[in-house]
Amino acid sequence: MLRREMVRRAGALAVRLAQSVAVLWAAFTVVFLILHVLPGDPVSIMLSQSEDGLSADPAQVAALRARYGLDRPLPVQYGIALYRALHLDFGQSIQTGQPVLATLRDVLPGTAALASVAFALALLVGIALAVATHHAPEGATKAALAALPALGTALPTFWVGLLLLQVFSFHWPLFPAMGNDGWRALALPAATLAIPTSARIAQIAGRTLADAAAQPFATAVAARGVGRARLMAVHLLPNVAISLVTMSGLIAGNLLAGSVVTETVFSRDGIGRLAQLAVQTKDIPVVEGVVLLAASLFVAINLAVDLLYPLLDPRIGK
Amino acid sequence: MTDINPSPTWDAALRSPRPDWLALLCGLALGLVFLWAVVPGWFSAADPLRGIPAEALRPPSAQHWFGTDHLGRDLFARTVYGTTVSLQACGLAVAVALAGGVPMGLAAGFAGGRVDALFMRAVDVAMAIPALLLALAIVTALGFGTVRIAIAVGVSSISSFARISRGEAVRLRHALFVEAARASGVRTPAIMLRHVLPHAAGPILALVTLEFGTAVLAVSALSFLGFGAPPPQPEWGLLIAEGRNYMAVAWWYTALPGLVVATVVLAANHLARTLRARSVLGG
Amino acid sequence: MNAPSPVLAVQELAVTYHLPGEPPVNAVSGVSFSVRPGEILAIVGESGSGKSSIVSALIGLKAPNARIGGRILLEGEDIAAATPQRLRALRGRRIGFVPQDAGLSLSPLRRIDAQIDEALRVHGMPRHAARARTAEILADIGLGGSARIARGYPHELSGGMRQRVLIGIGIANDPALLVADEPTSGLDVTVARRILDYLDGKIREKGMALVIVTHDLGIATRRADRVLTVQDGKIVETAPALSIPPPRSSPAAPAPAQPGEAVLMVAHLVKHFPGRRGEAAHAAVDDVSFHVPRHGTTGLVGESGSGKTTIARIVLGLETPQSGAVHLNGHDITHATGEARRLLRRRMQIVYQNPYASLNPRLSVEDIIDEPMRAFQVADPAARRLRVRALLDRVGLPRRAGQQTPSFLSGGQRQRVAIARALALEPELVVLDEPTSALDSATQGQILTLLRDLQAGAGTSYLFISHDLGLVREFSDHVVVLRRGRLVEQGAVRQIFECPAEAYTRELLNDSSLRCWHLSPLGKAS
Repeated sequence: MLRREMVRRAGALAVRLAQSVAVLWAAFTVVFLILHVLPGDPVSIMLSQSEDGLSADPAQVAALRARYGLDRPLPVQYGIALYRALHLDFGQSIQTGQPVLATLRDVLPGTAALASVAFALALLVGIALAVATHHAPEGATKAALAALPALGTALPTFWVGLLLLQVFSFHWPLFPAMGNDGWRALALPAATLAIPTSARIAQIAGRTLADAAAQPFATAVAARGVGRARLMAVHLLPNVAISLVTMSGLIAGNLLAGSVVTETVFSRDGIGRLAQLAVQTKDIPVVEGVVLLAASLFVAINLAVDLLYPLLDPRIGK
Repeated sequence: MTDINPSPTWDAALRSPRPDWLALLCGLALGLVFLWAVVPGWFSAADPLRGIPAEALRPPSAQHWFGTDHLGRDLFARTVYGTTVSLQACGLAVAVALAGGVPMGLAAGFAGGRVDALFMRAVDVAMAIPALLLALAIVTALGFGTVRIAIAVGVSSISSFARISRGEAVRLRHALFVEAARASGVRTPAIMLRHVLPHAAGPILALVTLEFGTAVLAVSALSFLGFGAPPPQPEWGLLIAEGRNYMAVAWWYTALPGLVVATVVLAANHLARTLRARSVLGG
Repeated sequence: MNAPSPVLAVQELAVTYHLPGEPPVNAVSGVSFSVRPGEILAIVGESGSGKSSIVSALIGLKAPNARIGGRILLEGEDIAAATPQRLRALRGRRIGFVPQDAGLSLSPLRRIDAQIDEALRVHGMPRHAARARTAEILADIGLGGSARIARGYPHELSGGMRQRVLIGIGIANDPALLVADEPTSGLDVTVARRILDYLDGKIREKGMALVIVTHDLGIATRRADRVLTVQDGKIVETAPALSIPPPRSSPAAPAPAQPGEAVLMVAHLVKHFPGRRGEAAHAAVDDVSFHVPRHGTTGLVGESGSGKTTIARIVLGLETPQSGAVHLNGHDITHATGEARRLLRRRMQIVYQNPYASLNPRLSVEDIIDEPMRAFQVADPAARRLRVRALLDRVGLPRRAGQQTPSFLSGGQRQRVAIARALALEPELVVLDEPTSALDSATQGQILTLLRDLQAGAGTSYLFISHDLGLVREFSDHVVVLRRGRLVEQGAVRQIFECPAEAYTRELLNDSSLRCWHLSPLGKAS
């Protein structure tokens, strides 16, 4: 009985792992197709970037093609790229000649710091806002609080970043306008990135709170003499935690995507700025690397969530 | 069998004695911006391209509502004239997403079974890549320019369109009145025409409006990053990017055009929510 | 003999809801009653009668936009005027509450024992005392034997067990007043009876006062000392339970139908639905056979989950059975698909339970009624139009209703539209899937009378699905009793109701036979 249960669980885990690998493979294929099949092959894209691209010497083009293996048939190119990717080799940056993996590894800590501070901030603000909205008495205050998340998702991130710079770096020089050094340099970018994220968290949390509070158990618990604070902390917020954990893969993806704009605005080194520069200079291997990093992050987080889920939610089969 | 009870919201929408002033205001704001795009000359007499160097970096005034830029060009005029390019790009993005996503989503939702399962796996893959990063990859391949970033934004939104359309299709497929029509002997094409499409239209209109707001954000972000229209051309994201260099001395340069972008997105999002709540199955 | 003073005295209770920009709504007004220790008072009313507003007021949990007038004296203290702090201290301690819908009434992410423990600890019981009392309560509600259940989560318990836990929580602090809101809805009749027995015993034992709110007159009359009937927020009748009229004698049985005349024959139907996430498949219908006589009515009766609706959907070809057969006029139609299936729809139609969901809100009533005729191109549009008008007349709807969309019609009017649509093609068989359960009792009577008249006129056969035995008795010639997908017994209506062979049928009858008087406004056509 126990043995069969273990076999069943191992089987489910294997299926889940296989699904994750399949999603990663598909994401890899999609990115490969976009960058290699859409009009303009990598070499002409790269050359079009340089000043004399249009008058490029055919011999030079041919040499470049050969160097990047682009003279071979597409399926062969795809096979080679896939084979290399399986060995964690994503090629070299065209701009710097450095391996893509090393380039990503170098700038990852900066983005990780930014994203985690922004996420912590967003979690705090988002849940606090949802709880405050839930408890606010009916009327203007509640309506105003309830409108804030919608406002947060509508503000262009780059504009918010620039406004914060204007106010807190130029008008009152409290924080540096750019750079990677220390927590002071982290404050404004983290706040910028936290705004849309907190708005999204507040929306998810608000919806879950409203749903949970409308269920009969909320009335039943209150009828036992349980107060508002305990009802919220013990009975309602655990439901919020579950829905946020479910969304955490998407939230992480949004943070990474948001870092492109945020790091560009604040001239911070990181994955986002690397991506912006790579697109600017048509550094295809690096663009590919960043997108695959985002996909791997999403897949890894979702896998972790799936495995941890039974611990959080007793209703999901153990 | 899902029990869809459409009547409360529908009745409320039909009989609501009070007009929704906020939604009306949002509609008016969007209408105004749309007019800017079509006939910018009606709203601004100043030339968006030619500046008066002597009047460079003037703060907002009665003459220059949004102030002037570093070349002495009127920023209000540049914002109004920039609307044409920006809105065209967003319209194109929404059109691409709509054309790519809706038929796919509706087909998957109605076919069900294996087709639907396959579709959901594809959605899993699409969700793994954040839309902005996907758009960046497409821009890398297609090259720079407003039309290209519009296509990139559109393509990267196809999956969300498809996902939501599928959801509507599944809900409608299980709606009791659709089953009732089938049980009455109505043929499938007639069911689609008379019962499904009229109800799918509302939610899809809401989705289009919402997607328009998202597209405004994405298009302006991409052009802010430097992948959009080349400099002399007025365009919202680019305008704000140009203002970056003068932030220390001219707050209005970034703040006011950005405010227009934010207002448009906010209005579109609110309108989308209202439409969704009022569409029959919005509940 | 001096009666003990009442635990609860409600005087001129009024509950008013205030919505911004709209006139206030009086949900309850002028309600007065009292309950003494050890007494059971039942409050009976349909949904929307104001009984839930009374419950909220009694347990001190009114909606934020509700205002309460009058006095609610609990052991002499007016809780309608109490502060929120005072109310919180009273809730759970002096006022116990047993909610309806056990599946959603326990906090889903907390263990069972923790929820009982919480009810004690929030009122200041020390940790070790609470632990001991929790064990005592668990034992008392019959869940003490297994630590696995006590440490389990609500979803791991059966509905009956969850309801016991809710009662355990309700009486944990020995309250003076217990308010039970539909404590047995959704439970199997046998389980419901045990739950009510337990509750009954507790009340008498502890000398609590119980207010039980229900829509089920059977429960009210058999369990309560007094019954209060609420309608439109007012008390329409207060009566000692015994004075409620007894069930009417059974109607004259119609001539028994011969199987040879059957319109519909269903033989050995089996339908499994795949289990979720590796669970075992569950049998919704398991080896069910019955028939519907020509010009007659077969009633399919059972509680929710008994497979009634699945059978109806199989008959109509909306589901495919794993095995078994459906014969219409002797032809096997079980596996008809495509155009063959569509053509069959001309001979079989359905009226759904929920007229709010089964009519397309975008179409006019005329278009809805016309739809089946249009699908089969019965006649030219002008002729069909005339026929739609005739149908409107027949189901008793004004002609001008035809131009409107369903949203302008009441529930009863909508159901008339659905009936007109079902009759448009003059089908041989109409499946009536709980056609009146979404309607109030007066409308229910009108719709049933209409259906009976139409049957007398056109000779249509009905497959009538209901969970309400009283209705089935009134309306059917032949009865099929189902339980959890299996056939319990079947036979002529008189045989089933007067000498049921199976224990389950007797239980079911016992539970609902008293409800027959409830339908008295109908009258039998004869």
